Amino acid sequence: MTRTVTAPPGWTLGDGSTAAAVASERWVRLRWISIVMSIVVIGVIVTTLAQPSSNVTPLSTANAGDEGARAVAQILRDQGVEVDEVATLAEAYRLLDGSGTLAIASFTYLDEDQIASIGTHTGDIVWIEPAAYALSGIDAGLAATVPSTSSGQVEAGCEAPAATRAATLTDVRAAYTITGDAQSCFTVDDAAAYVEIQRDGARPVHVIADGALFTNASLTTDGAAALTLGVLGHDSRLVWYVGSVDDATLLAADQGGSSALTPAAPGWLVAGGVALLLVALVAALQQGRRMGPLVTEPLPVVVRASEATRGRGMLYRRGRARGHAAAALRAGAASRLAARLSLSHSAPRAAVVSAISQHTRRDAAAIDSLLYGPPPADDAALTRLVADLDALESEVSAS
Amino acid sequence: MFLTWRAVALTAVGVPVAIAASSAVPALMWVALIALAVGVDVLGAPSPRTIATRRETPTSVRLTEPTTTSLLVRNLGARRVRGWARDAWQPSAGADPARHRLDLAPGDGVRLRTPMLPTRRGDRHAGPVTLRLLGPLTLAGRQLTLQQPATLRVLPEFASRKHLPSRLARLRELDGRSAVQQRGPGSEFDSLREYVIGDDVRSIDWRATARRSEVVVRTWRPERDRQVLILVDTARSAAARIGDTPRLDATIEATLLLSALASKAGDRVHVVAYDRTVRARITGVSGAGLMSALADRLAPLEPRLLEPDWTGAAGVVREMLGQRALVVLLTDVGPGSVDSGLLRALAPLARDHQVLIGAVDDPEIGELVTARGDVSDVYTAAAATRFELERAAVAERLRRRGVEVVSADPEGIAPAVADAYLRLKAAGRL
Repeated sequence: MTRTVTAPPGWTLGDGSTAAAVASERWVRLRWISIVMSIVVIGVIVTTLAQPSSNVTPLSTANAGDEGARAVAQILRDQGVEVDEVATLAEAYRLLDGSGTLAIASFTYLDEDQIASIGTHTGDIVWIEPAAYALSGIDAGLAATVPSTSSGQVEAGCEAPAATRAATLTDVRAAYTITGDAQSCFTVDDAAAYVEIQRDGARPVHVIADGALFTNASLTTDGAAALTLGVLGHDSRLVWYVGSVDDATLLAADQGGSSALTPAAPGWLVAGGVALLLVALVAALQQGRRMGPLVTEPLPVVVRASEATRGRGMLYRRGRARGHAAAALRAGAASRLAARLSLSHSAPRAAVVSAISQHTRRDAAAIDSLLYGPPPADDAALTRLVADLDALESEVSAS
Repeated sequence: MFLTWRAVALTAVGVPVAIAASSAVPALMWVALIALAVGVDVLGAPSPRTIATRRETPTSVRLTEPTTTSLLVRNLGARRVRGWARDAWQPSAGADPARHRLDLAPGDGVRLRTPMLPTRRGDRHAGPVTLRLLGPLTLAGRQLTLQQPATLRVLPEFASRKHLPSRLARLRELDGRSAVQQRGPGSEFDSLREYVIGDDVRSIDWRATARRSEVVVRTWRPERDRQVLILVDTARSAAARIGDTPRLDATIEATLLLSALASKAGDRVHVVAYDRTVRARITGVSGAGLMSALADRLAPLEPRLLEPDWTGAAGVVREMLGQRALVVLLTDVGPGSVDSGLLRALAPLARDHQVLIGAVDDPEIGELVTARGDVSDVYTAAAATRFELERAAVAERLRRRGVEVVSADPEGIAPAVADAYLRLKAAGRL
């Protein structure tokens, strides 16, 4: 229902527009921006809701994709193993606290010191597809060989407990040879896919050449699950290391910073930050809507009357016009003194000097050189001249 | 539309929730919910187009005096409205507070009073009226801005009126009403009256005494009905700021004081504001109407950044004055005045009329002359001294042409010009 109201004479009612007209005009003006903005916002919300707390890092325990290792972590958790993923060795050290299984799932680069520090861990160490340069650091007898891929099932062929439980693997990649006190398992063309290195007074080191065994996609094939769970599940504590690019820390207690860059912020902080950002956005909208436009006012000129004089003073200084400056100061002092001594404006130089001299009992020649002498040589002389003129003036006016 | 702070506060509730849940999703959903509520509020708010408004503004106010402007608001709609109204004015109108709460039942009206304290002379214009009406949830509402022109004329302060009583007393001393009587130049024969004891025996008119049976004395009074023309310079030099106000404001003060004094003394006052054209001309007004006419006509004057046309000004003066008169020129005397042709234009004028120049000095120049901080202060002092000397030379040249020159700082110029007028009047040089 629309009610028609009319303004009494002399009153203003509305501005001739209607709400619909204003809305449609604004819509026409802002439609493209608002359409694009809504698409972006909806897209962000949809992607956030579709994949809650997931990522795409290969072999990450949070990655539910084909390349991820969420299934392994999930199975181990169900078995009562505490699984934590870390990005730095220092963090791993803190969580391990001397015992437990450390899995080096992936890394960008580890230097010799870092590899050596990992070797000091006394619990199980599981290396998953380590790069060739790292092998000598893991064990002196471990070496890379030409990688070969089996086409079909491969028997364990060794006495390592995890391997015997797995019995066979299908389509496995093998890449290592080992000498010394170690077990080479699932050998294809003299290259082993799994090596178990015994250590004195410590749990063994496991090296697995094929990271694909741990992925969500192939965990169910043949003996993959048995092998991976066998090597990872010995202890009730598993730290899963997916090295961040900038990790420079050692697997040791004593170090300054955990990482060159800041570690990933905790989830509550991120969530709180996003929520605060939203509050700031709403506050900006609330404050940004002005209650009517600003009223403008033409203001008078802001140049001060004395500006020209100041400028002239600066010009004197920049041009080192000491002669001009001194002449002006002397003329000013002379005219004030003449007025003080009731001399006429156009009194001659000699009359002024003699009048001052009589008044102050000063030497006429000195007064003459002060008032009409040569221009000062430098700024210091100019300052002295001004001080002398001031002294003379105050002397005359005091007496 | 607009949002209220409640919408912001409500959004902030999402922060602890998001922290507790370690996820931003609840906060996002919460904001979406609030956005929905805001939409409902905006659609549910009463229309600001059913609110009639009217301004009632006083026509003029003297500078530094407070006044009140009213905004009348009437709800013609069928719903109760709550919200705010803003009565916007230009900043120097000093309208504060300009925002008012609104709470009107259908058919109700209210008068919103906005106190004003103008800080600058001239015409102050009103801005638009803005109405904000809240929705039912008080999270948001509708806003409408209405153009509603109004003008408040801020008259010159006339702070120099405090000098008026003492100058009027001096005028009475010149006048026959006072006990002190003097004859000579500057006074004219008033009347004959009977001798009373105490009168100066030298003023006895023997010829009239001979005709009558009693002793008769002549009385005298100062000249009356002289013409006084005040020429206010509104060109470049009037725009320069001295202290915080333009030079023009000081010359307007001087104009007002001199006009009040001269009209009380029985002289006819004309005022012309001039730069290259006549900006204002007040002539033929006398008595009580003069001061209000002057204040009203001088109030909106703003200086223009132009070179003054003194020859043109002299022409206007000649055209307006028949007999010999006092021409008071309120401007600035400086080295630039020679370049702008002031001397050349005034020389012929000074032959026919008594010319008085009231120059507004900058007290800052005097401070600069005595500044002795470091070397650059000394150079500035030299420049300031040079400026003073040049100005003194110009004033001297003007005096040699028969022009009276008085100069004073902005506060002192009005009484200085008034005193010069009294001096000239006493000397009979009008």
